[in-house]
Amino acid sequence: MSDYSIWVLEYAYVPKYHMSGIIYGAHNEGYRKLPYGYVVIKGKGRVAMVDVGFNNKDLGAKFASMYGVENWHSPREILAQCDVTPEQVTDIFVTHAHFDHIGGTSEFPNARFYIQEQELSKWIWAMSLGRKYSFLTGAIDPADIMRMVNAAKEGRLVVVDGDQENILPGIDVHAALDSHTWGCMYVRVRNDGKPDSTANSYVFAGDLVYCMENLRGRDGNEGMYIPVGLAVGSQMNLLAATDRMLGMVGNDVKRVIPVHEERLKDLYPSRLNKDGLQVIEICLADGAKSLVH
Amino acid sequence: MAIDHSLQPDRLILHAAEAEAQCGCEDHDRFAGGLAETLDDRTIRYVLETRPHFEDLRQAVGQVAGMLVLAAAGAKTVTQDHPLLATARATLERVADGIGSARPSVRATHHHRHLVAAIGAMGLALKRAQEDLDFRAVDRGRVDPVLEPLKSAYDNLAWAAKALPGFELLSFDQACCAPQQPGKIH
Repeated sequence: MSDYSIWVLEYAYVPKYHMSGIIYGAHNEGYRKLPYGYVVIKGKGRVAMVDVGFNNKDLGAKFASMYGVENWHSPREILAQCDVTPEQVTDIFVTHAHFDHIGGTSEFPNARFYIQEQELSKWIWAMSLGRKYSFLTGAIDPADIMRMVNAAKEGRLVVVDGDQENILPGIDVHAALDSHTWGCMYVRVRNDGKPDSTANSYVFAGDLVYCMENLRGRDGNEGMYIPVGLAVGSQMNLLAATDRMLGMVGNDVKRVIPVHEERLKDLYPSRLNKDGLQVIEICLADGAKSLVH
Repeated sequence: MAIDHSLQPDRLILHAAEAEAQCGCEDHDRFAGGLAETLDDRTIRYVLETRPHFEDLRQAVGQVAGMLVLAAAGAKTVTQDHPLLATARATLERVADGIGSARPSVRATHHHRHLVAAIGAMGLALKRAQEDLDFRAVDRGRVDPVLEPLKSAYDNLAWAAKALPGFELLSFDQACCAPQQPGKIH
């Protein structure tokens, strides 16, 4: 039994991203494609998403000209692939406040947003440390935060304090504090709705994991967790979060989903859409129609 | 040291469209380009002198924005006398002093105008946050009087960032979209 259909929908990509950003310590090892995608979770009368991408209206031209982000398509175009409009999205889990995860919030006028309290409060604190510590704060755009004020005023912002089970039926959020960012959050979907489900569970890792090597190690170090290349918190916390996520899915690395992993398309049924972007089908709710077959 | 109020424009214009119209620039959204663009020595000196103040102001805007979102969401960690508001005010005074002493070249005049406007708007946001906004009030949606000038401060920073190379509102190399770019400004 499966309650939700879940897809990872690619909306843009960087063709050449340096490996050392993806895998800690992978210096001078060249580049890899880095896809950008949304997670769409559809079922039980709701449409939820994990993250909303960046604000292309203000940043897109710069991204394209200076940072090589290619083939961006709007949420309306991308979500249409699963017969959803942005207005129909009911819930959005913001894994962290980096501009490429929280920047698109204004596209979803009816959604309720969920973010960890510490992601905001500790970022504010880090801002007070001054310019010498601006490494800690540079990837959050104050404009994105101001857009969240509007959602809060309208009662559409839920500030989560730590772990919360059944935030939606069968969906839990978990905090990974002081890791990639101050208040990273990952999302677990127990697709059979059972409290202790591991066999039919999926974890959406945000940027706690960029690729499979973070979960399972590399040649010569198989089975060893390797952190991502960027953290404001501690590597220990990243590794502990990795262990916890894997434990929720019975240590099946395939079911901890790193959206930035280019090879995700090989692990699940997938197809390229007309614009050359991946549609990856993680699972289908009972009776739901496949987008890839 | 007190803020030099002579830096403030005659009238604070908080609405983005009106501010653009008043500014008279041909295109606020034109990206100034990288450092490869030829700049005269006086402009380069101005860029180097004002960049730290730009960054400090960006941080202060971010701080207050973060506090507003927490306040509007009902978080209990935010109060009207939160020490970070005092920090933001001190930062703004420092920035105003620094920008006040900068001597913009002709090329930098547009940029400087927006920095001055950003300082004025930020000053108003902080004043309203301290005097008018009760973070502890039941109605936590009453953040607009602070949010409006705060947005204006951000808009002016964004326009300033586009007017001259070397100013960034975001550090793109600290998130997952940053291929290494030769010649990138740091």
